[in-house]
Amino acid sequence: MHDVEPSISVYVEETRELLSELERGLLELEKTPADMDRVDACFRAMHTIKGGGAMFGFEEISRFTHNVETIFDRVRAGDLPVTKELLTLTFAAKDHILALLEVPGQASPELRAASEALLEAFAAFMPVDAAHTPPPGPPDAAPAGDACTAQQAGPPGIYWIRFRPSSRILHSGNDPVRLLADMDTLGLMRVLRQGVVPDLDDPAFQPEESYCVFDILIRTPCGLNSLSDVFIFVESESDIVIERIHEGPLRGGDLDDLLRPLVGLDAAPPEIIQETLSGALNAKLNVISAAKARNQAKQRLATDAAKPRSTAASASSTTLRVDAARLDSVISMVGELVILQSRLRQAVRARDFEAAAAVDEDLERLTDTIRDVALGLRMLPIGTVFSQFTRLLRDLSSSLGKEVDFETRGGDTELDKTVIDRMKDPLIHLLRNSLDHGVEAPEARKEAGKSPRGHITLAASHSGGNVVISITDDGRGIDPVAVRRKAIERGLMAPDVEPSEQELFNCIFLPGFSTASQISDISGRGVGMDVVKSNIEALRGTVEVESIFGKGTTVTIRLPLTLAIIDGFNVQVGKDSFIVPLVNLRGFQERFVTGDVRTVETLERMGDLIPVVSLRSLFAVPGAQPEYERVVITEVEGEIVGFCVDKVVGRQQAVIKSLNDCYRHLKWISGTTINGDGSISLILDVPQLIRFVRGQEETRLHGTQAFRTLA
Amino acid sequence: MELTQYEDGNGMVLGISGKCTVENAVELRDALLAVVSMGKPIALDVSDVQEADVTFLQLLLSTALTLERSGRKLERHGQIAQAAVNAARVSGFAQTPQLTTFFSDEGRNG
Repeated sequence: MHDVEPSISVYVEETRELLSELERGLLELEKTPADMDRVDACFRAMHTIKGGGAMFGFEEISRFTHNVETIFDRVRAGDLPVTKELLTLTFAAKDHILALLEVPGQASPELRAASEALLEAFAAFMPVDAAHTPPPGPPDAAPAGDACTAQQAGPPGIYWIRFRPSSRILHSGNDPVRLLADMDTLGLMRVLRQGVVPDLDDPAFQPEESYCVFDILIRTPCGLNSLSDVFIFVESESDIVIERIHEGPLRGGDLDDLLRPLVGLDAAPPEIIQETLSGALNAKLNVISAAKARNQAKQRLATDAAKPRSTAASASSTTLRVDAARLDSVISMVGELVILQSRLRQAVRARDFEAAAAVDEDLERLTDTIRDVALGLRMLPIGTVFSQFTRLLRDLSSSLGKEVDFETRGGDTELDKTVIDRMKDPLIHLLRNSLDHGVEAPEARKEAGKSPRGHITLAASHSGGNVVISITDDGRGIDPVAVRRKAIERGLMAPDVEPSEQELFNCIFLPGFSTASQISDISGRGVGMDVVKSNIEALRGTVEVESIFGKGTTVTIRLPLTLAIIDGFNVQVGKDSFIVPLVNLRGFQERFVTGDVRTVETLERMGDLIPVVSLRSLFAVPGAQPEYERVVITEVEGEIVGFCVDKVVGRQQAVIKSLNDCYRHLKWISGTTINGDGSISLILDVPQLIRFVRGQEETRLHGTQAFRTLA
Repeated sequence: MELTQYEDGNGMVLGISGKCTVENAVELRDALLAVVSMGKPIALDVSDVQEADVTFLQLLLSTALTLERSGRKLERHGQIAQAAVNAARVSGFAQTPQLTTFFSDEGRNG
């Protein structure tokens, strides 16, 4: 059965999306409980999940969702109000369906017990009026038409029908095609037509007669009577056999497979046909259950590695939803590329330099556009993760006993999908921090003269080729005194040092640091912030903290729009070429050198002395030391460092090619790029480079273990 | 039912439109036989079939079989009318080997 597995995974993907939609809808309902359109939307989402569940073998999802749907139907009808308790229960139901999604087929006893517990809780909401209660019938997955009467509707059955119309059927005004069309409305139907039709010039050919025999398989919730009613006017003259052969879901493709062995058996008696069908059916059912078992095993392996549901972090998938219009424009531009190529060939053949130059100009325009659009294919609005956070904070604030308003802004800001996937965890950690350590309990807030409800804002925007994400809370802020004390305690800072406020705040990102006196199991174990920072830096981003003690804290993250291309300046030292990313660049200076040059020296810049690193010395570049050097001024975490190079070539947009894994230990190289003339430039990771230099200097000066080793 | 007949670059085109049902079955068979007997390649234009019953579908199959004898294939000229598509689908004619291409979705232009 070749298409059971792929379609199950499509159903799983789509249901995950529906569940996210459902959650968003429920969150909205919490704010506006009277919004009937929203209730309708939630109902529809559940209905779709239920139907698909039955079709793809998720029987428990189908059963469970059917009952939840019933409740929402009552809400739609105005019999039940939308209350916080109902919504909390529905959130739990959504989580439960997500769990059921991991295990197709038979749900485990624990899951079934969980279903029952939830359904019981839901039942408590039903009005006592029993007459209204709809029958808890099994859901029908077949797209049945109205021809099914209520008494006959039931679980989907598979019927085999043999219809051999009398040859003169048309003479009494009946048409087999019309009868089959009627049958088609009762469910999912597949037909095998057999029977010999004579050639056109055969004198025995009577065009007004029927030469066909039909074998039909139909999946329908309708009963035998509905089916035989279709043939009510022809059953006396025609041969009709109707037999129920199976109960349960099968797909169109399955029915096609079951009909295939009947080819050539048009003259066989019904018993033979039934036997053949029964054999094919058993074989088919074995294949389906084997595929489901394999799928279940796969899903179980996947869920073993999965995080707990309540973190609301869904696994990043390897498929992507792409805007069709963008894809179309890429395709049409590729077409233009082909045209340009042939123009170039002609120009080269004709040695027409001007024509080639014209192609070059057009090509430059085209590649710029293709590159932008193609990279844009991977862009998603960050709002897709914002709604997960809303749910997370809602649950978390309840459990912490804090009241908080959560606002999101700039949800339509677009980011590369990989960046979004890798930012989810850091953002979740930062939000938890805000809620756990930032926002105070309502009483404490009142004492501080603040409103009892805290406020957390998550905002995203574009700024100069970067995405800026900020998390702001109006909580208690960061106490510089406590930070200093902790830093000294942990040996991260010397007691006699007078650090600036910014330097103190940056201590939060040091490994093993936490000022939380009581480590809650949510955050504050001190393993978080340094991991957050390194995750962000791995994306070539930066993170900064600003805070006013007593008022609140803002964490600002800057990320490049895309990981594949970097904007920077090309610099040269000897024959080596490097790219300094624009995000770290602050300016250029120059210096004149006499005599020997140390790797690290100082230089005056705007009244301050800044450290400058000679790349020639650091990388032991061969060749004579020039007397005049350019200094590339960079800034990392508020610290200014200059790098001395021979020449600044110019601005360059570099397509990043990763280095092979064996160079992984060279952390200060982000990757390489191929320049226009075919040469290669190394792309510098400035923060890592500074750490590298610092480490080298420590070793050299103190003869001790470097602060950070390279391995 | 209306029948039109003309020659195009590839051979004969027979246009069949309107009610293609039992009362016109004999006339349709005669027209099909006549055009098949010309010996040239044949295409049928069924883009304007309003109604189709089993007689129409049987005649299409019969035509395909007859053409096969002389090494020809039943071709379609232009799009196929929805009425014909539906009739072929519910009756299984669309899956009959000689007719699968004729009833397939890609619109082919003559």
